[in-house]
Amino acid sequence: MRPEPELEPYLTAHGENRTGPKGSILTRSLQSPLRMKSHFPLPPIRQAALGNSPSTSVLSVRLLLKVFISVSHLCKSVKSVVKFPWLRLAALLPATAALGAAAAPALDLPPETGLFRAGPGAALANAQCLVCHSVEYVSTQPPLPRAFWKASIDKMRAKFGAQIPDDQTALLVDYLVANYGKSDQVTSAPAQAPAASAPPPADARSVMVRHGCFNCHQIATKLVGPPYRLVAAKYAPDPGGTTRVIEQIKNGGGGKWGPIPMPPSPGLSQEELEKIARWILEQK
Amino acid sequence: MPPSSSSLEVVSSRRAFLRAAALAALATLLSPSGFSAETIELPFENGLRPLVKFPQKRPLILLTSRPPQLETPFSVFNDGILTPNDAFFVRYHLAQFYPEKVEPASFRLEIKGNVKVPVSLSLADLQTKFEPVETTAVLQCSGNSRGFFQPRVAGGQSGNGAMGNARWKGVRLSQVLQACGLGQGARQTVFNGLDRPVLDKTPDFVKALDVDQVMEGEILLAWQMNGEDLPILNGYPLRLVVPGYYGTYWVKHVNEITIVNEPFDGFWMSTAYRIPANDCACVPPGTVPSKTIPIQRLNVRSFITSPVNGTEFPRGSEIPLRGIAFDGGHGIDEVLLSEDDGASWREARLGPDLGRYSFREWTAVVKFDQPGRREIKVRAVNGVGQTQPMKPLWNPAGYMRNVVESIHLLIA
Repeated sequence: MRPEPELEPYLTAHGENRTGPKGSILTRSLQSPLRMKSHFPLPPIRQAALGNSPSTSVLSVRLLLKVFISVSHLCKSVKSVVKFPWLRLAALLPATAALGAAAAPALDLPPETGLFRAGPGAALANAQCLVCHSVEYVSTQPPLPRAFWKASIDKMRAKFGAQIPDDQTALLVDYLVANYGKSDQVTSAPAQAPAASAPPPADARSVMVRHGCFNCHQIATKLVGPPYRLVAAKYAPDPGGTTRVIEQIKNGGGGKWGPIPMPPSPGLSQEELEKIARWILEQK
Repeated sequence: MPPSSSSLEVVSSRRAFLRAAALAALATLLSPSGFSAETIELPFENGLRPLVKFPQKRPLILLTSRPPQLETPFSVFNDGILTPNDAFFVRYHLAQFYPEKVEPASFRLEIKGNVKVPVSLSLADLQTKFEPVETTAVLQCSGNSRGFFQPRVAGGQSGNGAMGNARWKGVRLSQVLQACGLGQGARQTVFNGLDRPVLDKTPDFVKALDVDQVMEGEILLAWQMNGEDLPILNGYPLRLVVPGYYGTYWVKHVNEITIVNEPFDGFWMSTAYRIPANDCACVPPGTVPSKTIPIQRLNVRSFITSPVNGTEFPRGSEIPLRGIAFDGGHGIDEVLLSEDDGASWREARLGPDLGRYSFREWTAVVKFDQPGRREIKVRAVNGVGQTQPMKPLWNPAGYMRNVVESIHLLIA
């Protein structure tokens, strides 16, 4: 179930001294920001050049030799030299390795700290998905429906070679839909009654997107109107808060938060209004 | 207090600072535990992002940490027409995106396949045996602005900051290939960089361009941007610069070029980075295109970089506007502004021309006599009359967004 066997050759080939518990690729990747160090396969040419840390002078001689060889290669083509006389000139003056060769920067990456949200299936997601990418590849997606998460897992397996066992894909899809997908389509289809005649009711955020709420309001940042978190901070403790938020959405109003009045939204049903108000007041 | 034209930059950067400070304070108060105190909220659902500092970079909008995807905060585009290296966006596909270290002295670019003389070139070879050239060009991610797609689509959920404009220095790939000598029937040039997948079965990130296009001479093997070595995360020590084309072709850490006689059909050409095969690269929202082709040139885009959306101004004050426009290489002919939802348009003043692949700065002044929420739209027209759609075009991968952009100002 893990990709260990495929990584193993890299690790051993490059003298990796594995100290973590067995199957600890994941652990290591989260603990060490410098995981490139651990299993990046060096291209042969660089391995040869780097060798056993040769002294500077040996390195320079090797370099000059290499430059000479590559220049000779270039000049083997008589045609090229005739066509590009500067090549002949260049061959006489081996390029100095100093040009543009300032100290090579090393990569000191910030630590990767993210894990999948706790819940049934989180351990599976942490073990499978984080092999190739950090959690934000999932957590920054919009709340997409089950079909998307299913297709995504299929793609990871078929195109990218993810080693997710057949009997665990359903659990993984369930987990992703429940934690990062559309909240009203959590349950898995096979267990449900056959094809419902009416489409499932839209969740609060879909309705809000359709009605352009997010054009003026964001969750944490003031745009034209107040952020939803501030609305929640003000009205959630108020016993009549839900009603007041519903009134505000339905009839519009102004003056409370700034100079621009909020337009009314007569097209929303009572059910949708309640759903949106509940969602707003949950923002913390 | 309306900013005057001359003090626009100072005022807007002070405003940006205040805004950032307010945001940080708000984030500290409101963010769930474990979240960085410094955040930015992109204006779409699930758009709250931490600002994180990576090597050689200032704090940038973190989309993903491994492989890294970092977005440039939009305010940077108001600071100057060239995007600073430490603010330039980052986008990788594979988790082993850079070796522990690359020694510039031992780095080699291999050129092989259907060439008369296969070569292995050092950076010094490139820098001394060929004529160095410089070009100013926009690098834009195919999925820049994907987060704004409606209905939303899967993929990197970028705001408008997966783009940048830089002065690139390198040598013409065409000259290097001429020196090697192309073999009979050479059709495509295939590029690979030092980045590697974690799993053997994950397709390596390899891209291809037609030899004919390469031999036109505009594509560079570049080692510098904006007068300095490439930052590691932007392709050190050598990357491909493909002016006018989407970033997917600008292969980073490029160390292997192969000339082939058949179209290259690797995953990143034949399956990924494909657009609907029609003039608009679009399909009705929610549908699947019947035929696709690899993504190609940038389309026309323009943005208002100052003032920021939602800024308040007193009625009757002169409001200086500034922004950028660019396209895939025909050059920007005009930038137009509308204060009446597109019913009428007037021309903005264009700034210095840094070449047809560069951002083009534009400026204008507007004045509103009535209080309320007022909208300003911007659109650009390029050298062959192409412009931007009033309504967003849609495709399933979320590529090539270029709708007419707008901001709202609050007139008090």
